[in-house]
Amino acid sequence: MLCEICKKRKATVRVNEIQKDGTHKQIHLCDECAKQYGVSLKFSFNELLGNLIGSQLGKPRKGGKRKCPECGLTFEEFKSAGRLGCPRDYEVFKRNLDPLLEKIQGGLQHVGKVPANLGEKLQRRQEVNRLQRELELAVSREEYERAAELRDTIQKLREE
Amino acid sequence: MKDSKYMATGEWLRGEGPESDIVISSRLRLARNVAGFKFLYRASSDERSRINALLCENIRKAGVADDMIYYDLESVNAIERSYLVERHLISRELADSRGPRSVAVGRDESLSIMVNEEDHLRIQVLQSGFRLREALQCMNEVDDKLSVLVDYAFSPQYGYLTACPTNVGTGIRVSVMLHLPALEWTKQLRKVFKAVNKMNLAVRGLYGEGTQASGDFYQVSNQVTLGKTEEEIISTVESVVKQIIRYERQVRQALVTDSRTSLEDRVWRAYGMLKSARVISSDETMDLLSSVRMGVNMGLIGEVSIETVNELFIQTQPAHLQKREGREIDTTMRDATRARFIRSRLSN
Repeated sequence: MLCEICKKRKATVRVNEIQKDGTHKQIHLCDECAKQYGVSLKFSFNELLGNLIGSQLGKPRKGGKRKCPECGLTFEEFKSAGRLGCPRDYEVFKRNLDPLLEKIQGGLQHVGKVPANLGEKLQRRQEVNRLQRELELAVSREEYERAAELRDTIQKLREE
Repeated sequence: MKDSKYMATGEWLRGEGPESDIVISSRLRLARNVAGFKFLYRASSDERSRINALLCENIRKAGVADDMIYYDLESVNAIERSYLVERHLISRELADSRGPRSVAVGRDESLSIMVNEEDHLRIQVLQSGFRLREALQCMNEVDDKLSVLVDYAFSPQYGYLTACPTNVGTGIRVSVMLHLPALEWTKQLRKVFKAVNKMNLAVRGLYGEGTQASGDFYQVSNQVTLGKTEEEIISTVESVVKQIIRYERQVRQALVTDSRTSLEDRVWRAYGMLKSARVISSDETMDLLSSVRMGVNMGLIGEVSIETVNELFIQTQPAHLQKREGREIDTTMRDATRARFIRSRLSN
């Protein structure tokens, strides 16, 4: 098959373009025309991730221009790099990030381990969250002995 | 670099541990960042230096293991860095990046702590066989010791904050490396992987993210890191891997029953090629070793031990070959050097 743009060279790249109305359009191109068309044959993992993240976000929401006061990152920059600039970005871009996290992670509340040097009260609260999850898991697996143990531990932690 | 000690295989390639005929290794990795610093992607060179110094100092102070060896990756040459990648002690990303970065390696190479990779800190525990629980215990121990000395970037809602939102929360990545030649030969892998993806797990090649599978090795790992406990994440991977092991065993058994002769032929031909080849690429070596490995594990071939096969997997990699020869060798020469090395290891 010949390239659909130059109609001279052999087509080596197949581009699947998604149109605005959601339909797919397939184009066959040679290496050179593909490059000009904006199809890069070699892409980095970060770029790919950035694009995937971009595609997950759908329509741009408000706040794309906001800058993090700490690291200067904008949400647009995050979308193309796939990396955040500093811990504070999670709060600064919360409105844009939460929907993304929900999609890729399925949850928005951390229930795992907490750092050893975290305040005692906070640590206890997180521990209760974590044990609660384990309790649900134990019940779903019909491990009732383990579930009873967990229930008691949670009770004790709450009373402390 | 201490050559004599590290020319041997690391603990994870010893071929020991539960289900080691199919499960090569169990690997856990934690992503952590230091509070008060930017993530590496936005950090200045001065900040990177400070993070590097701060973390290396505290890893030493924390006393996570007795026999830790520290590599300053900025001053280590490219072959040495590839050598560490081939041993799964650092990621390709860390090897190829620039600027101040380090790795601390200990406990027979089953523990490696990377500094200034994608996150400030990456703690990895890698063990042979199917031993995720043991690995978790070991990793928690290290993480707990460090978290007393270092303030991690942490939020009660999002958990451990990471440079990429795909790691946030627990920051844990659980990967089990599987050897699945029978499923591959009978073209049933696609089916298996489709099911794995449905469980929100990922399948990758031998060297992780973005790498191709070679030698019928595949890594199964979790994708979700937030909203589930470490325990839940490990349990999911564990139960899926158990199923895959069962399928691989079933197919191996069926192959022995239905087509023993062609199976034996494949194993012995592979062995013959390895024993006689004069020029051999890294990919071909992996494929042939894969057949031999399965043959040994199924008792179809007694001429070679599983230790030798495992050792060849790692020692025939490009950086290992060049280190052994003590010089840089171009690809064509390397293929001849590799063939010579394999012949010598299989002749005695």
